[in-house]
Amino acid sequence: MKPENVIEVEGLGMLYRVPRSRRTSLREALFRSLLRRDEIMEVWALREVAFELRRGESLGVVGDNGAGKSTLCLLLSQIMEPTHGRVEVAGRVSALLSLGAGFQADLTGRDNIFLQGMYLGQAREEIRARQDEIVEFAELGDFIDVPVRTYSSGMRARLAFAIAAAIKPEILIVDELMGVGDQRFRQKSAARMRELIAEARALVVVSHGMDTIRSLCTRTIWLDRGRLLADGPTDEVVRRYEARGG
Amino acid sequence: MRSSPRNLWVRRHLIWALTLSNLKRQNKSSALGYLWWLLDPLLMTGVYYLVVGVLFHRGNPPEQPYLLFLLCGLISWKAFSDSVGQSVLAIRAQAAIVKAISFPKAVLPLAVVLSNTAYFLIAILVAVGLAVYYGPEHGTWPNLYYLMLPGVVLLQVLVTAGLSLLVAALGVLYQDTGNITGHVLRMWYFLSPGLYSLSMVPERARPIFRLNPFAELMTAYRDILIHGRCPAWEDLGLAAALGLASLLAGFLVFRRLEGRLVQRL
Repeated sequence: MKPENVIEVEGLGMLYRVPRSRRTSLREALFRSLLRRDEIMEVWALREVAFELRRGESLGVVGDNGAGKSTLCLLLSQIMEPTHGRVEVAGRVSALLSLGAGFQADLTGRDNIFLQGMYLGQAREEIRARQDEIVEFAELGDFIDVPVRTYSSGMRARLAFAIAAAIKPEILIVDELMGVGDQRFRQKSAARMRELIAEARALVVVSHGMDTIRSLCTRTIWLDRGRLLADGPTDEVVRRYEARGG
Repeated sequence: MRSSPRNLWVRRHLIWALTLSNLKRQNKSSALGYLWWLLDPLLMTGVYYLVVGVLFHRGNPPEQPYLLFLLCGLISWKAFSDSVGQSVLAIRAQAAIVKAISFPKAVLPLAVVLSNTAYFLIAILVAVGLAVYYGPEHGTWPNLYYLMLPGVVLLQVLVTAGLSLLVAALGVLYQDTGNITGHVLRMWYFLSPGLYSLSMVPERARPIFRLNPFAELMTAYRDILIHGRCPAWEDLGLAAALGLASLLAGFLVFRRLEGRLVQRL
């Protein structure tokens, strides 16, 4: 990896093999060779994608539905492994992908703060040092010590954002997450997001909102059905994307 | 992120926290709560005692209180089979977080193993209580060999962890893992000296029976709790070898399959 880079992606390919019956049974596995091809649907979500991101750059990712944007986020945040190619990321990554997905409903908000932090590989002391900040930012009051089961969806989202924002990532990956909570909280989270971006070494934003991309990203890539269609300065790529046919 | 000894070590507090949350969850959802820790092994042993010992007048090895004999085998087996059985769904049950955060997935089955080990330790206390109740006639007073119990438990944990890792990965990839695991475990139990003692197995078949780590483990628990004697060192050595082999094999297979798990959830 070159020293000036924080993300390097090379020859990236991601093949989803989707069985028509959602899960494979052992019978199918044993007789896979006898299976007709059409019983497993093969979908290339990404193909031959390559780019580099330098320290301090922020990258926008645009493309229509099914272009592979979310898959790219999952690969960059190392939640999934690519079928082909290489993803290298230098530094602590935080991915704001699906807010609050990993909450344990039976545990309290506070227990969940610890659990999520620990999943991310943080030490208990680190989390303890940040928990007040998280609780305050999420504005949950006494609800923080009540099982998450009882939370409204807005409360869940606020807590999730507060946790994700508290870990001070070096590389921040954001997938369509601008609208959290009510108007006031949205402004607050947008402000926090800008702080994070200022602190982070690199940023990757996936969005369908071209204004978001324009205001946050210095560079933009355009994905189309899994392939890299364009890579360049945001203004130029977004202009081409908006002028696309269909 | 793949499971490696290093990034599992970084998340040791997570494994511990998940273990505690498993224990809490299982006890909060039942009316008798923590009482089940005692009731489970006792009731289970009671059933087998009634059927095998009282109704069939069978299985009573000479000079041993059969109830205690059964308990030693059953609690050890329950810790193992519950761990393996619960591990089948351990990753699937946490699909949401697996798809949202990058972490070594092995923490999930390992926490299952540890929470069942906690139950096991409590059950051992029940067995110790029964051994003391029978007294030196048919059981033992607490003696120095009790100090070996944690060591034997550790050997069992090695065996259990290996198998649990294996089925945890397979459970995501193949939906019949649960059915197969259930049947294999049942057969395995009857091939283990849980209801009978190894000395009741025909001599010619014994070397084969001994390849089952539970032949050594169950015998070792009984040596300590019933006879108050040191388990045979060659038994412990064999159990350790089988335990390490199980852990290594389970871990390697898990690592191999781990990269494919997320997209199958």
